[in-house]
Amino acid sequence: MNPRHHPSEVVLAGYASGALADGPSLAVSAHLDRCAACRDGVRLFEQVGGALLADAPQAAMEPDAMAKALARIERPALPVRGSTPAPRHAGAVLSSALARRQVGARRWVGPGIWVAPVQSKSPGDWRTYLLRVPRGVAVPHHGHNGPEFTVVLRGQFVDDGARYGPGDFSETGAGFEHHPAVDGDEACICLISGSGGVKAAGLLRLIQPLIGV
Amino acid sequence: MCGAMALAKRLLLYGRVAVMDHRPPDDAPPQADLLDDPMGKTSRIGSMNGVIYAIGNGELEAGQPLSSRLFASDATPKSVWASCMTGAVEFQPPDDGDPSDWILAIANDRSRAAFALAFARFAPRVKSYLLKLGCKNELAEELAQETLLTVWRKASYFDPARASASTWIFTIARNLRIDALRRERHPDDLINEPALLPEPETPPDETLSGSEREERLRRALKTLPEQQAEVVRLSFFHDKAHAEISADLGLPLGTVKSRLRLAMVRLRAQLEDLL
Repeated sequence: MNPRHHPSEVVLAGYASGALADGPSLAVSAHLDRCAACRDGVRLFEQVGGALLADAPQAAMEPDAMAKALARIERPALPVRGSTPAPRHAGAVLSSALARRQVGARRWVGPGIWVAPVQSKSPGDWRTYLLRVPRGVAVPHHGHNGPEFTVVLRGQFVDDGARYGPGDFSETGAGFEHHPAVDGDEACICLISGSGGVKAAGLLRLIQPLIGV
Repeated sequence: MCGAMALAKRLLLYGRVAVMDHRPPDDAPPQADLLDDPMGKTSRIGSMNGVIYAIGNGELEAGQPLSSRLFASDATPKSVWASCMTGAVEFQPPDDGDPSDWILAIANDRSRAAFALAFARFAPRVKSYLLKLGCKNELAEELAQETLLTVWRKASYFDPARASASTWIFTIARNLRIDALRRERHPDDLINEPALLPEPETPPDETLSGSEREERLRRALKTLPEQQAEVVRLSFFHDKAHAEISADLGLPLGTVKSRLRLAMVRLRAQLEDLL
């Protein structure tokens, strides 16, 4: 089934232009894996980037730039070392971009609930992690201090009356408060990237130091 | 590939370097014959690995430019030099034609001349794009070099039905910049190759080539209302989140978002209208 909840144009443009931080870009990639419409959107923005590049003014290159380039193309390329493939977490459907990242050890933070940090190179205080919540469990009520991007990798949850299944994308901003609950008959695994942390209320405040969000 | 063949015999001038593809017979020993100061001037012309080149010459720089004149495939450094000196050849900036053809010529023929064209066209533009995004001069120069080097190495991945040359090169520069920024922050990390593989699942547009789409898109961009065009430009030429763009423009984030959405709807409609 095609995702029904999509990144906004602003997020797609940020992804296509390279301005979006690494963690949120990973979340967008996971959505793009399943969403042809948004892949088209990204392509459109990339074409905009190409058109702007074609019309960009020319900066002066160093006088020996061409000679250097011509010499460099004669040299064989150095082999590129790839990073170790990420271990597959029990049953998590990893996106193709995520599959190239290291995923840290799972930390169990409650019955059936785990958090696993995802290797990310975002600046500042972005936190990127996988969150697994078993069926029937609601994430305690919480608010956000900054933007947060969530993409469902497996299972589904319900938030504010809307259902989010595999590939569905959700953006929240500072001041946003919610109480998502896992729905359906399997556990839900999400990739989440957020900045600024969450304002925990109630139960979540107890486990917040443990899960580091 | 007649375009590529024609390119292969062109002599190109870029700054102080002229480049021409030269295919020695298969059994010829590797050439590195340099003619130093053949006319008593501070200049060199020679060939190396199938490229004839000329470096540094007052007259070449002074505007007797080499042109797109074709040379015979058995041209040698000496014969090329001779035609330059007798005025049989004119120099002119070789910045014409569809860059997609150059990249195909690199992919199919490993054409150095096509590479030189692509370098002359795109390296200065990639550099200015990176400078606008806040890269220091040295890094922008290096990444522009890397971008064109990647064009050389990955030319076989270029699909003109999917993307125009400038869109493809834009994505390469974008990825290299992202990797460079990560390396700056996390010097110990391994860096993956930028994602250059085509996504096979999206069928390319069958009626328009990437270059044709780009041409239409460029026209469509020019018809955007200035308010929308500004948000689009800022999205690409500032390394800023949209929250910062909205602060810079003194506009609510919602307005920035809706302008970008309107711009995208409009661009898409104009592209689809023309199909």
